[in-house]
Formats: sequence, C-alpha cells, structure tokens
Amino acid sequence: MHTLKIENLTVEVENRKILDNFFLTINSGEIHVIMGPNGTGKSTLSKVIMGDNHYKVLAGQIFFDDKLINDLTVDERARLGIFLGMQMPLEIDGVTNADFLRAALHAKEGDNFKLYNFIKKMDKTVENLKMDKNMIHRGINKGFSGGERKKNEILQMYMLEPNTLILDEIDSGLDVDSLKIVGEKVMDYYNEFKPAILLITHYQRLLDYIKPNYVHIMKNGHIIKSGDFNLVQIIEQNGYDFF
Amino acid sequence: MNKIVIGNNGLKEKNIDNNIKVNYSVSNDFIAVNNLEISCLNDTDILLDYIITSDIKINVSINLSDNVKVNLFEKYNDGILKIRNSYNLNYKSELKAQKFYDVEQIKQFDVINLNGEKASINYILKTISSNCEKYNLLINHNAKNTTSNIINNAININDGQIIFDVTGVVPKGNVECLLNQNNRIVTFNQNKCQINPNLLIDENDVAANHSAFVGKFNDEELFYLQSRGINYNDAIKLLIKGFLISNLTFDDEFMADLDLIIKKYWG
Repeated sequence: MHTLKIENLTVEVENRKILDNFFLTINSGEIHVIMGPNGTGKSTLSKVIMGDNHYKVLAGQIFFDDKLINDLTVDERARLGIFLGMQMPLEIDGVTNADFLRAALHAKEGDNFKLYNFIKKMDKTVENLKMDKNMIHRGINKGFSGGERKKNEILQMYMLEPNTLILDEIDSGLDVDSLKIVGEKVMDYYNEFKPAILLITHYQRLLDYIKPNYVHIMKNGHIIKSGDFNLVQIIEQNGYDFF
Repeated sequence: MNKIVIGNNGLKEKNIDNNIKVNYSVSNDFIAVNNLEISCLNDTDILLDYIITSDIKINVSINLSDNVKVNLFEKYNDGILKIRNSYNLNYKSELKAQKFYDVEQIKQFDVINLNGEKASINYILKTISSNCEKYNLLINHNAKNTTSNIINNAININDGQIIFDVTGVVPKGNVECLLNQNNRIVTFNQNKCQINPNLLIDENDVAANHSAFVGKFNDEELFYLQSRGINYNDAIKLLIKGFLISNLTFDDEFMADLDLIIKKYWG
C-alpha cells in the first residue's frame, strides 16, 4: 500500500505562479483523473511531483508513504516507484531503447538485475503492445509517431513496474486503435499491480477505457471541484466555464 | 574488410584485397612525413586504424574511381597528430567516411574534392577532446550535382578546447549541388570551443544549410532519463555514448572499444 500526498503546494516558474495551494492524496488502487482547461497547471503538477528543478516550489510538501520527498532528486523519486508518462516524450538520438531500459532496470534492481530476464520480459511486452520489434534497437523515440511514443511510455511502465503512475495526456496524438491499446494496457496493469494512478486528460474518450474513482477539476493552479465519474458528463455537456 | 594500421614507425599492418591499391612512403626532406595513398577501384570497405603514441605527421590521399562506393572507417587513438587527409571523388562515386578520435592533441586539415558529377560524401567525425584539437575541413564541389553531408560531433572534457572550421565551396556553374553541415560540441568545461561554418557559394541553383551548437546536454533529455530511475552520472554516460555512436555503423568490436573509452573517462 502506497500513498502520494500533496499538501498546500505552491509553485512558480519564471515569476509566474502556476500551482496555488494545491492538495491531493492518492492511495494504491485508486484512479484519480484531473481535468481542466489549458494552462491551468496540470502538466506542471506532474513534473513537480517528479522533481523537475525548472519549477520553484514556494510552499507545500509532497509526501510518499509519509516520507517528505521535496528534496529528493528525479531519479530518487523514480526509484521509489513514481512513474511519469510524459505528454511529449522526447527523442534522444543514439541512446537505444534497449540501453535506456537496461540502465533503468539496472538502477532499480541493482545486483539482482538479470540480463536474460530483462530481454525475455522486453520481448514479451513489445509483442503485447503490438510494437515493431526493431524499435528496441533504435534511438529513444527516434522516428516514432505520436502513438508509438505513447506506447513506448507504456512499455517503460511495464518494464519498471512502478507503484504510482502519473500519466500526463497519454491520449494525445493517439489514433482510435492506439488509444484502445494504450487504455486497455493501462487497465491491465492496474488490474495486475493495483498502483495509484493520477491521470491528466482533456477528453472523455480515454475514460472509456480507464475508469476513474475520483474526478477533479483543476483551475488556476488548484482543484476547484472533486466528484465521481458523473462529473465527467457535466464537463462534456457544459465545459469548464460552468464551474 | 581492408585493414591498414599505422603505428609510430609507419605502416604496421596491411591486409587488403584487389579492390584497392595502397602506396606508403616516408618523405624526409625536413621533417619526416608519412604518406599514404589509397586508390579505390571497386566497391569496398576500408578500416584505417591509427595506433600512435608519439608525435607524427601524416598525409593521406584517398581516391575513388568512377561509380565506386566506399565505406571508410578511421580510428585515431592516442598520440599528438598532424594529419592532412585528401578525399578525391570521381564521377558518381560515393564515400561514407566515419572517423572516431580519442587522441592527445590533433591538428587536422581534411580536403574533400568532389571532382566528378554526382559524386557524394557522407562525412561523420566524432571526437572526445581532452586537450587541444583543431579540425579544418574544406569541401570543394568541383562538379555539378555533387553532394556533401558533414557531421562533426565533439565531447569536450578536462582541459579540452576544440575548433571546427568547416567550409563548403561551390563555384559558379556547378548547379544542383547539395551541401549540409551539422556541427555540434557538447562541452563540460569553460574553455574555448568554436565552430566556424562557412558556405562560399557562387551559384544560385544550390541547396545549402548548416547548423552549429556549442553547449551542454539538454536538461529535458536528462530529466527524461532520470525520471526512469537512472542517476545523473549514468544518464550523462548514456547521453555521451548515444551522441558518439549516433550515425556511426562501426562493427561490434568498435562498440566494445567505445565502452572502454567511456569507462576510461567517466568510470
């Protein structure tokens, strides 16, 4: 059982306050979705949880299992089991997906890392995600379409088996078929490992596959309303200006 | 693959087939200069391995006959080198030159002469600079419809300082030439690093572009790697290796050597 708790988080970047007095608690087995208009701080939230030092935390605390993680580096947070599925996964030429994943898994498992198990697991996951097997030897996201990049994020998630997922607009850039695969694979992962999930999205279509327990509307850097799935229907009918 | 090894005392190993002819001599007029001439008669692969620990001056001339395609691999290890390479390409010949440097110091002047129509060169240079390195590269588009694609990548560390001086020349009348220059130095110190990209073009019907970058690795790339649990040092090592091997197609033996080189500098 893991808990990610955010209290009174206030964050600025380039002298502009992005998050303002933000509170949220997510436990293992819970799926939370944050929705909200553009520029309201959703992606900032995901990066601040992960420890991106481009953002200045003015106030507030982030706890993981009651441990304050404000001062932990990005990789230390990742090794606790926090995983950020990026909105715009980067292309890194020359660093192959295989080398990248091997280094990541080695960092997680240390001396327990077994190369044979790694290759076997990677091959199986690539197949399950209906990805091109050759992609594993290409540079990270090199020449990948938007959909392939998102599937690559899901591949990394399966390889690293995190306990807390922050998925930042994983539906953007996906066609209908890819959305179905990604949505279903996230739910398969949820059913198998029961992680805490924080989903950030603009659209209901992803929620056809990933069913949240809690829906939050974020505006001006904090949550202005929380509810259950019915809130999604209200947003679809009335837009964010309704709130 | 044809293999030629140059050592401190000149030609160390020559294992070649009928696709190339090699002449090696030492001129001793004032200062000893090693001269190596390679004529490429048919499609082939060549490895030029420089295993040098002392000061040495070398003139290399590589000539491609009409319609010949050559993959050339050059490895420069250790030593203080002064090198002049001349690549001469005839009609419709294609050269892919992949050059990797881990030397003490180097001054290099490479001249590419695209002498025949439709000749093309893909020139990829990678170096780890830890002292003083200067690379001059002159690309002469001496015929119509010739192509040059130049990639110069350097990692600058310790007391390293590095200069890339890259000049593409197209005289009037040599239409439909393509020129591309991509020069990039990732530096880990405050020493002088300089890129001088020049395009001297006296013809309108030419497509030319260049990019130049001197700086550090992108923070977003580091964030991405670290967000998967990889610590800062290992993330840097991954980026360095990726930067140095991208666009290269050296064999597995070279890749293993590269791992050792990275270990030597970054543990």
